[in-house]
Amino acid sequence: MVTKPDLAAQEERKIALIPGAEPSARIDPWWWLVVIAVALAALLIFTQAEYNKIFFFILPGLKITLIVTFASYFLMLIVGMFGALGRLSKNFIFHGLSSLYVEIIRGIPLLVQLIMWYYVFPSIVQSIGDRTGIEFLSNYRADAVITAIIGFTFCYGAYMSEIFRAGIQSIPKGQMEAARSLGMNYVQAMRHIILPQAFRVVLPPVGNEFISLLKDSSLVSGVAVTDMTRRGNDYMGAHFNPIPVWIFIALMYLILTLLSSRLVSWLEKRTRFER
Amino acid sequence: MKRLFPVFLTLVLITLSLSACSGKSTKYVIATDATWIPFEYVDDQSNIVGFDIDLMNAIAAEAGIEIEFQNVEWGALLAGMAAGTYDAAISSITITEERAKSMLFSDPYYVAGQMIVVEKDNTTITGANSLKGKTIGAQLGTTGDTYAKEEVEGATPKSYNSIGLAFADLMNGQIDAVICDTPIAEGYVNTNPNALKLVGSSLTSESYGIAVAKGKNDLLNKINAGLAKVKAAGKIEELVQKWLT
Repeated sequence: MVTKPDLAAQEERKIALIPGAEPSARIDPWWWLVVIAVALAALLIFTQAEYNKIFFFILPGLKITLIVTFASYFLMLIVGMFGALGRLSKNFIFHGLSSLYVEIIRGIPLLVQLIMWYYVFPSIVQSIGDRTGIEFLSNYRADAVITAIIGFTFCYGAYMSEIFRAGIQSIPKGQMEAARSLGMNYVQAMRHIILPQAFRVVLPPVGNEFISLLKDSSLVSGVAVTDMTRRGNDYMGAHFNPIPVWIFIALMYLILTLLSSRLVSWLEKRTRFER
Repeated sequence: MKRLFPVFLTLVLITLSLSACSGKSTKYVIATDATWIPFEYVDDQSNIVGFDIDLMNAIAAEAGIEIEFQNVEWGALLAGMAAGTYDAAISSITITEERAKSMLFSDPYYVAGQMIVVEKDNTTITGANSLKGKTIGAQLGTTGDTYAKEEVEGATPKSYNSIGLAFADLMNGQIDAVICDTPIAEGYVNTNPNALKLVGSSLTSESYGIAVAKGKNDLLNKINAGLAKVKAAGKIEELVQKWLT
């Protein structure tokens, strides 16, 4: 006859043997890539004097790169949301304006847009100020970092709008019908039913846009923002050694993007339906 | 998500308030491309230093104006001067007719030349005459670039956003020669003595000047007055001693 303690012990053994429950299976193996990249960077920084100097020199640029990326990202999420809702709206004006915005912004390369924001926009503002006599506008001087953030927000916001629109449209119509039949209005239905579900759908491309933005932030080195790429140029200009500088900067960007993609992957796992 | 929303909102508000703080200062903005050692470069402590920087500070002191430097890429610097984004620029800018159409220039303060750099084992290029039909690299928008495009017959010019990359290409054997200002050429050859060498003598004789945005004639006059005083006090020779020997 099986006694109670035996049963309990058997159950415990069975649970321990279920595959996938050990800690090592729960850690994503892709983390090894991050570890390798960070280890390589640490090796270079701490054993080679030259890479050590390069690392500490580009550190302020790293801070600017991260500020520009994060600030642009949060703003473009908002712009994207409004753009998507505009594109989906039945109101002729909202739909027209957001469609126009998306089409025009998608038609101009990002670098050209950044250049236009930093050089053309201030001169337009200044000439408006001169014509109307408003001194604040005449003396407008563009702050490089803020202008870059605005440029990124406008450009990537258009792409975000399309991503969010795709996410919202992927939710079955039945959800909206059910919400409306429960008495919710459009805004309540969106906020409580549609958007939370759409969030899961858009997480991969939205995370992708973050990683893409992190790398495209290097373009601001051409519009007077001292980011990591510009610091690399400065160092190369003073020390005449292009190869080590660019290898190291590429490694830094790689580490940043690898960490970001791990973060996105973790978020995806946390929000998916099956656990 | 509920907990993230206030955090998200705070970040947005911080960003917006940062933009409100970007006030205008009363200092003149002097643009410089600090990748051109020893005229202007960024030292290991992240200060912008060099011949041009010291000279501009001396001129500002004499003229009684306050200045602040902004480190911008060369292409952005030329575009910014044409658009009036910066008040003035000092960055080993050669005075040319082409450039004078879009910006004002001060009196010249230094006479420089361009040099040809080739790979160590190159025996075919010995000077300006042997550049015909070769691939020549230079930094986009510099007078070296103009020389490669207009003065050399049958040469293939290649433009780079920064001169360091032109030298990297030269060391990889992708191009035959690089033309740039003498101090930069000497700097790269000295750092890579087994890979590069200088050939020929100084190609051109060109004058550096301080660029001033069009319409800012009073600033131009102040700079010229300060420059004259600085020259009379022998400052230029002092700076040549300090930076160029």
